[in-house]
Amino acid sequence: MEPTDSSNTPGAGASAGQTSSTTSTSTSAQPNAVGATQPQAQAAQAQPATAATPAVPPPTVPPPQQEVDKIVLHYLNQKGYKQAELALKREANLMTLDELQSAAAQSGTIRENAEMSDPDAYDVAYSSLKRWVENSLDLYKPELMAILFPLFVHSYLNLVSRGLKDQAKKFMESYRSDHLEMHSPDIARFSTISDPQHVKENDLAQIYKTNKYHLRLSPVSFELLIAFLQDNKFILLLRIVNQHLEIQVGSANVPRTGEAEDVVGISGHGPNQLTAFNQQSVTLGQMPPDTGFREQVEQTMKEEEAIMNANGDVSMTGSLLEEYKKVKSEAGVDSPSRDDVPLPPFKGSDIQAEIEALRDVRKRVALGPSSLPSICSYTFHNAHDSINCVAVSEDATMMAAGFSESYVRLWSLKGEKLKGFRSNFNPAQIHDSSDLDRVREKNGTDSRKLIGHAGPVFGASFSPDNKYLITCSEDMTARLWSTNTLTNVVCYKGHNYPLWDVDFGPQGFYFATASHDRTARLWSCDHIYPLRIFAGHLSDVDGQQAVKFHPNSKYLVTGSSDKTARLWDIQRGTCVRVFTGHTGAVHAIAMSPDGRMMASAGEDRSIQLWDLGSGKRMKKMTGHQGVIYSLDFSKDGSLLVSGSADCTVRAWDVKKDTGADGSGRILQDGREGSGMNGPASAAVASPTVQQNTQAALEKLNKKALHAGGMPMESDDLLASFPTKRTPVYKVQFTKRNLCLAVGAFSPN
Amino acid sequence: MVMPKDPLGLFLIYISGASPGGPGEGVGATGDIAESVGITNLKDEVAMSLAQDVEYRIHEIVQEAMKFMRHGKRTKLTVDDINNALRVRNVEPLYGFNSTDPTRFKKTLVGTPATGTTDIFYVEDEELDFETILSSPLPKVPLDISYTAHWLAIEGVQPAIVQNPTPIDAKIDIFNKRIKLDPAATTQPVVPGIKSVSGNQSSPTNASGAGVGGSSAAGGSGASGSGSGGNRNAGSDGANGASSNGSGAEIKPLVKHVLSKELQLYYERITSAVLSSDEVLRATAISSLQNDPGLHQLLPYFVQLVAEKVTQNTRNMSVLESMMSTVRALLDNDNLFIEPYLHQLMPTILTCVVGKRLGETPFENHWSLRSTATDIIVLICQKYGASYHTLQPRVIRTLLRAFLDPEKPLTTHYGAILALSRMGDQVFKTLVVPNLKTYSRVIEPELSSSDMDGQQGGLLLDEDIVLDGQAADESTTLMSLKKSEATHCLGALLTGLRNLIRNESAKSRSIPNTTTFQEVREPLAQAIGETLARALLKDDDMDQNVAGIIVVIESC
Repeated sequence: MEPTDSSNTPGAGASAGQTSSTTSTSTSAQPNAVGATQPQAQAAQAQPATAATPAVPPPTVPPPQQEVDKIVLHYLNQKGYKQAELALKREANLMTLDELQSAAAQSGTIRENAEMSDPDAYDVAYSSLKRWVENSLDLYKPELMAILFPLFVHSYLNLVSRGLKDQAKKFMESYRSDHLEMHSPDIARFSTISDPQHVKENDLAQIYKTNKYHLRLSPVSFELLIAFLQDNKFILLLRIVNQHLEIQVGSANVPRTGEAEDVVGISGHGPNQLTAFNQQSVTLGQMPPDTGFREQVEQTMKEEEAIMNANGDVSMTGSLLEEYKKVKSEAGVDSPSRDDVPLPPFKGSDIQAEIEALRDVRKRVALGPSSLPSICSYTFHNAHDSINCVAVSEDATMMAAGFSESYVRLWSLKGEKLKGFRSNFNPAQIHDSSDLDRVREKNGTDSRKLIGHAGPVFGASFSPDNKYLITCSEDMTARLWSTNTLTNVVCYKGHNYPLWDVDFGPQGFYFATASHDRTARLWSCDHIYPLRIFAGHLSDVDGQQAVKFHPNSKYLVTGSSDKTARLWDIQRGTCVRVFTGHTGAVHAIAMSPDGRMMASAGEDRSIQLWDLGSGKRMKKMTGHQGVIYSLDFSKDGSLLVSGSADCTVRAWDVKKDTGADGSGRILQDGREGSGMNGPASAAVASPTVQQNTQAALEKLNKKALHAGGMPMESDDLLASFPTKRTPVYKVQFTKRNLCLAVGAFSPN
Repeated sequence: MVMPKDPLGLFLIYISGASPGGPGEGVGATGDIAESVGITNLKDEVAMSLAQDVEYRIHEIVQEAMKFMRHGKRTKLTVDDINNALRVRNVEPLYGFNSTDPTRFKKTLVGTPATGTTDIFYVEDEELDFETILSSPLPKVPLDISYTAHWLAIEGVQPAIVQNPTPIDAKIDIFNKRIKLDPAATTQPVVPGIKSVSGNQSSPTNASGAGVGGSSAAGGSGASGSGSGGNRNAGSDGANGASSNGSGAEIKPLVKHVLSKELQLYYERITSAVLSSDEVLRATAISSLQNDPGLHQLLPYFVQLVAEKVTQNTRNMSVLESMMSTVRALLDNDNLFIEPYLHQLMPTILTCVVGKRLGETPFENHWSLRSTATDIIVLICQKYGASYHTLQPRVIRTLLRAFLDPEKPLTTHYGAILALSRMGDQVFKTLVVPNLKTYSRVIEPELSSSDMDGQQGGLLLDEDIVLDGQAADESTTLMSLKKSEATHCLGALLTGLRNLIRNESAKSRSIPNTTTFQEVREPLAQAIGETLARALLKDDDMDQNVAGIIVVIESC
């Protein structure tokens, strides 16, 4: 089924973009298919895809002459050469579109028109389909259930488009409850649409109209469905299936657990495309250090070691060098080239930082399901709901918060005073750092307001070296602040809409922003214009943690309201992975420190874990009862911690239930073949993985229903730490695996 | 048909003036708003489609505003969110609504009933007097934002410090949320754990948590981290928190300690044993309570348990009896310092003394229960009367009020008389005896109303029958209920009187007695009423106790 499905899709339907389905049925490529007595299903399958689909010559090839005539005719029509057009038509004896339409109507599709004119046709057809699905065999039910939602949406939109307000309203009210569980955000938006004009304007409706909704069905279910629609002559539904659905007919033995969940929905790519798309090669390994830098670091270590040896303290630094070598040699596999991410030359302080980081690694606490993290909680008081975002520097020495009142506030967590500069010094007199220290303020303050933005500040991120803070705001700008001078250094303009989030790259220098304008952008600190624009999301990139760098700096992940997360290559500026599976907007994103996994949290209050190499979902974790604001992996990647509006911090087991061997295989694949040969074997591994998780999920869902709609806590929830009426805005692990949680106490 | 130049203006007026309602409401509102901008003859269809469009736009704007709300990490939509959303959509924001207070819409009716009324929504715009504003003192400078740090978890274990919620708080939160989600849950809490939490504190596992939670809530400033010194602002937040917490759940602080596992286990065992039907088990439990030296930590829970069981099971004699034995055992235990809990115990015991109806049917033997409870009251008064000098007067006042109120049922009277008589002769003499004549009028009609004649009734007044109240049971089936109750009261009074008379006589033995038995008959009948006097004088030894009778007569 599947190959015919895609190859039969001719792209010649230039008019398919129009909403009227009659026009698209009668495209020139398939005049016979409609006019003749071929089965409807055939005709249906032969119908054109969207205008965007690349042109493929149809299998029932019409005479080339006719094709040429057709093109010429089209040209003449467009240019308005009426006479010539008529003449050509006479000559070629070719039917115009209108004529084709009427011919089609006369030759047997009258019923269709009759159905069209009957305002209750959708209701009748949909309700009987629903009944049929509900009464179908349990084996096929889950699969067939999935098809109801797109049919529901399009039926409703069509009713509205035809101006049948009352019928549309009735239709929505009768059937919305069936889909609320899975699709409540979309339903809520659709139910407000009541006018044909709204359909045209509403972006969500347009997403549904212009993109195909992907489903995966087993051959049997597909046959059953088509046969049902045909036998009952539900032409309207058939048309929706043709126009707006792309049904991927899977292998014969698709497990009944409906593993298709990962490709259901609209992603802007077909399911086949999506699989192919997610097979693009990615290099997820560590970024190799600059050779010069590495030598310098090793040199410094040796020197320190020598001093230590002289002091008689051998044990500590002795192995540091070896450890460094070990850590760095591991990075050899599957690493991107250094040229992919050009960085400024290293500085002396970088070496010291590297050594310090290594020391932290040695002091790191090993975490796992049996050894849970210590969590230090920072609670804001008297915030009065005005804090929008919080950032903590990686070494937990500084904390910044962005406020609704357009300012940023910086705190020192070390208990030191923050000291800016006096306003009246002469820069000409500054020669070295001691001069600089002299012009510092005498008495610092515990915290400092950074004023510059002109709108609510929605995102903040510290540079890894703590020297800079980047913030983004509703005023469409991002601003770079120096934590040394406590002043605004650069203002980056480029987005046309509010910025939701900003993230500093793991090496500093680069940062990325996510915006309401549906793009994410890459910037470097020394350019005031964006270096890359990542466009492709179908909706706002508006997560709470909407953008996150991959640990090797070469990639970026974004989460969007279009229910997908995407992985972007920052060098090429293209999307290399699309992660579909959330049933609501994606709110927060985190990357595992080894760069193999990603966690995303959505409006559906679930956390999903993804394998970056294969683009497959590893598992879904549920338990939160509020919006999840923040996620972070522990530094060894074994735990995931989430902070939520439900005033809890929760720790999740990353390893459990990913199909212990299956996930291992996926990971290995990723390492060996950098995801190139990954998909093949991952595809083998994934059914088992998904079967496991799916079965578990189904159990959970059932339990959830019993518990009165409260989300059930999945088994991988290790611990849940409630706070006192403090929604947790940010969770973050330090290099030593101490977890920091930040929130604002809300008395009401 | 004149359309406004700026439909957007209409829309803005709409959102500022209307509440989200059905399209039907929208039509009216649209019409009203059109009128307010000078369009008088807005057709219904136009209004209808305009209303629908406006509704759609509002939804879109709200949808957009929700994003801003979410990024503001809030759960309440503010005017600023709406304005930001409008700005994003390239629409001029609404001016004049920027207020920290949530905007409240009010509804009013316009038009006369004859022509039909329409709802109009408006924002109340308070009129402020400049003078008063200028002369009023400046508002306090709001507290500056600050932060505190604490351990939310140490190696996966949440430390029990004031900054962290107790498990009970979390449960209550969940419970409240569930109530919000599911209104049905309010009537019937589905989660067993929750039920016990909100309903009572008697189980130590829960109550220990409640203790900690309560202590932090009560601590006021403690609620939000006054533990970290130098944070001068935390206190106010904490106070807020405490007050808001108080409304959420009626959990009061009991103790500030956590019970050990062993004690919890012991408590569970004992409670189940005390309530069990197995006599041996019960006796063992009671004797354990009587003698165990290490129970002090559990005392509040037992007290709580008794209070609760008694209030819940006034119809269940066996439970009441068990509870009374428990109280008795606790009082008998010399190792327990029960005084601080007396105020909790007293009402419970008094319930068992003067309760209107104890036991499933009125025919059950509640008399002995009352007697037992009376003994306990007396014991408490004796034991602690010295240290709590208001204790005894208060108890007596309560009892006397019960005794003197003719509206109260006879069962209550019985308990009160019994208790008063055992409180001591002085009490009986000064409080009960003077009222005897009046009181006999209350019980006399009951005694004589029976279909049995007075002699039979008189027979029943035999001392041994009424004294312990046991044998009366068989006859209750024969007698009317009222009569039986009245008989009991009478019996109790007689017992009291006899004791008084004998004691008084014993005191005055040495004094030579000049008055004869026959001489006191008449005055006695006058003093305490015919019925009582007759019953009293039937006793054989009364002729030896003339002195006592005289005291009774004198005290009337």
